[in-house]
Amino acid sequence: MSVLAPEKPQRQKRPLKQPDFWTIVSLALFALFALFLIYPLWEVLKESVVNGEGEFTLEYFVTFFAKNYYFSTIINSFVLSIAVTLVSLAIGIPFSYFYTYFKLRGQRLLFIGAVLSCMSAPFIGAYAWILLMGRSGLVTEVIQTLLPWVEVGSIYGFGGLVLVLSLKLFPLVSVYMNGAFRSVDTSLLEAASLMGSTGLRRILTVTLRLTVPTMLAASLLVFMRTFADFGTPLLIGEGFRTFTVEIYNQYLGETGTNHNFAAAIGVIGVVVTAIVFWFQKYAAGKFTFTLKSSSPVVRIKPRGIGGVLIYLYMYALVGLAFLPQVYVMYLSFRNSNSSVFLPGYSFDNYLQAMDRLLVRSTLNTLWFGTISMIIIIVVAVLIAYLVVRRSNAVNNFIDTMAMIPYILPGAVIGIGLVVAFNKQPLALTGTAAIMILALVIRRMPYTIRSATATLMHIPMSMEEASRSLGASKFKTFRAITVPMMANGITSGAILSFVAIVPEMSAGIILYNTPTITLTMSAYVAITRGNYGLACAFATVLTVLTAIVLLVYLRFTREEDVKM
Amino acid sequence: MRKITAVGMGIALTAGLTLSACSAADLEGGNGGDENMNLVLYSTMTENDLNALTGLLEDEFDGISIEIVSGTAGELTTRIQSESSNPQGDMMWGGLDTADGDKHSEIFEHWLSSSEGDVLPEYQSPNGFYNVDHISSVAFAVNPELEKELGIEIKGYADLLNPALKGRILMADPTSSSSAWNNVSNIMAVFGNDSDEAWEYIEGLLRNDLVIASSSSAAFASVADGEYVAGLTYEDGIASLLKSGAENLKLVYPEEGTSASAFATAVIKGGPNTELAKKVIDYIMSPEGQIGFAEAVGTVRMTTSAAYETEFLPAYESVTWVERDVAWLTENREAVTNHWIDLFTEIRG
Repeated sequence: MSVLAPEKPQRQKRPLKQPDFWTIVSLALFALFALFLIYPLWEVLKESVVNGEGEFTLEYFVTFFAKNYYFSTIINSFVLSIAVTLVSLAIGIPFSYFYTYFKLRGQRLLFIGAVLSCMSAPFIGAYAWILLMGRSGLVTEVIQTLLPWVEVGSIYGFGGLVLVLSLKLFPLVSVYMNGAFRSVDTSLLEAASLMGSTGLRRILTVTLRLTVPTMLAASLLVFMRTFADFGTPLLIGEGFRTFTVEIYNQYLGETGTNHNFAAAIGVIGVVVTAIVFWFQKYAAGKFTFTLKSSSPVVRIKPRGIGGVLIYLYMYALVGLAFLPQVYVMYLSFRNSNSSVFLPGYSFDNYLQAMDRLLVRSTLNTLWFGTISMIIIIVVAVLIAYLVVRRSNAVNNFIDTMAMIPYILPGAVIGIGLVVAFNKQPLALTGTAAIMILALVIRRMPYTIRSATATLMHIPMSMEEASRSLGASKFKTFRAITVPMMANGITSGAILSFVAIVPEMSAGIILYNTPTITLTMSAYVAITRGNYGLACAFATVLTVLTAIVLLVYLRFTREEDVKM
Repeated sequence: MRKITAVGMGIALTAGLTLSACSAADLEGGNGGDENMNLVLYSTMTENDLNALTGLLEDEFDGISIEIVSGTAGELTTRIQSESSNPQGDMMWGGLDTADGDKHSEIFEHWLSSSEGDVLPEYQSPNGFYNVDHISSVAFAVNPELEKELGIEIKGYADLLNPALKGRILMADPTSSSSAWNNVSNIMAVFGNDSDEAWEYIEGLLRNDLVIASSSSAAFASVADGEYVAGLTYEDGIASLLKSGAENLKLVYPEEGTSASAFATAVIKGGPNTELAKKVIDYIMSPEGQIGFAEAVGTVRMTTSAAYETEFLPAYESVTWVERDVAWLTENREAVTNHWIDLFTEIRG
């Protein structure tokens, strides 16, 4: 059990001219990306530098930066994303720490509750929050009756956005940090306490410091996810105008849309993403250590006042985050007539859902989710290896490209895919293939980040040993590297699946009746003004995901997941 | 290489199975035989309206199977545009505002129904491909309970400037929502197109902390939920809620006068079943179809010159109407929108 001193990211140096297994993989991935990602995006974004008559112009970029009405949206989005990232870290890290190092009752419940809060379909979650904490919200009224001197803040605007988004995204931080905390060698912690560093000081100087790469990876995802989120600001932003909402409005607003202008804003978004991403890579590069897998964490039972506080913190946090989904479940059993909820309870919404393609939505959700997840895992692991072990210009470019879809609203990606694949030889519009493609493009970043972070922790010595014993590069990869990464990949895969399932924004442009999923069915119900039905679909979605999580936990005890 | 081949084959197999499963589901929809009775309808209309229409169409056209793709007007027109080299939809209903002018000329077929002559003269097709079938008049959604709490009564535009309503009125975003544009158009019509009075009024609204809602439906749904006292919205949205049993909601036409935006249905160019789409639109535009729809849905005013009843809307005669210069508004839309943006930025910062 040893720790290697901090060193530069490990790379293999080899003479340039020998193409090997990995060069082929690299080129193959590059080709796939070029066809399925760069080409569609290019089709959409090339509009940014031509005006209505087809002449080259930069006027849209100028307008964006010149008019404060538009430029302020980027500032707003940045401020919001930074705020949400900080708050998510602040609540997510303690949550993860307590979860990892203490033996709590109902651990599984906490885990499922946290992950489920992360995956609510955007529109429905925000709508539930309004019903709860809006000016006439349920919770608002309860508080005002019981505690009339307390002033309930508004769920709308910046404050509300930070609250709702942090509660939604802290599980992202926690799941990553769980894995990272478990990989911290307890012997290091013992050594630290022998040298006099205990308690909070030890946590800050040793434990947290060792988990910085994971913290940075999680921060990046939370930042980007907030930046790209448009469902929540759309519903509760109320005057706080964000960047992605502006892109969405320019592309899909009912009036005054200007696709060229929208494309220009899209390009700006892509540039912003790339910059943030490189910044994170640079920062992560400064904190690489490798740790061999070590003795498992010994969990202590929480005791005394501290124990009570810990329990309170964990359950209150998950309870609050999960509250909107609980409310949606409750609403699904209420009688409703279009947008109005009537008194009384029944299964009517579910019966109506059965009539409105419930079975097909569920099957499609499972199929698309599974296939997308398999493709994502394979591609992400390959990319992670290329980026960590064979870092060069091409591979880094592939890595960056894969992160770009994160920032563009799904609708824009949907448009790109339709335009690109609407004609022979690749006429994929209206088929399941294009839906799966959109899901893969949109959700790959999670698994890539977790696979990369995992691989950074694994020393090269194992692989070198395998090679020196005569195994081929592919065999080394298959028999040594992948198994060592396996647990890290699994947690990333869970996040991928849980993120795939509520995917909606690309679906808006791509879906049709044969390929409809549960989330799209819920969205359609909302568009049509049938809220009871929407709640029914959303509840089925939540239950389905919960089942998937339970199955996962049954087969791979989450305690065993190491990173 | 075996593992990758295995995984690759596995993926290919599952993908193949899914695709075939999905296309099989596709064919289930009552096809076969000589006549294609499958209609793909792109629509922005809500539950109430769609249920009424599908009921009527299923009675009129034996064996028809209607596949509905829902979305906002922007989403659907962008989608049709993107799909234009291989269109997936047959027709679009709702969301096509006559104020669009010629904007969507490329994606719709330039065809008008045979009932064009039966349409009221002010609502005949402005561009040769919009079949104007229904209208939507500007109205205020008012929450009577909150109104009583504040001790005021909202009857018209002047009442909205009451400081007691600061931050408690909402409207959708005129830069992206057709219902908000509808409202701005009416303000122009009432106070004078691009007049100082019109812009002074809008400034007054903004200074009274008018809230910009994210969607058209929020402007009446949130009022019914008690989040706001009043919303500048449209009559059929409010009427739909009243029909569904909403209790805390009132439909108020501005006493200074109201006018309507007119909406159309059109045939998508090159769609899979253009023939059926044309028959359906012919029916929708016919006096029989118009009366049938109006009475089934009860919340929408139609464009036919024939007489009909709407259960949840006040009679035409009981409302004060003003005339709207649609041609001027269409032509000056960008200028008006920019003026709004500048005013908004100036006041809200």
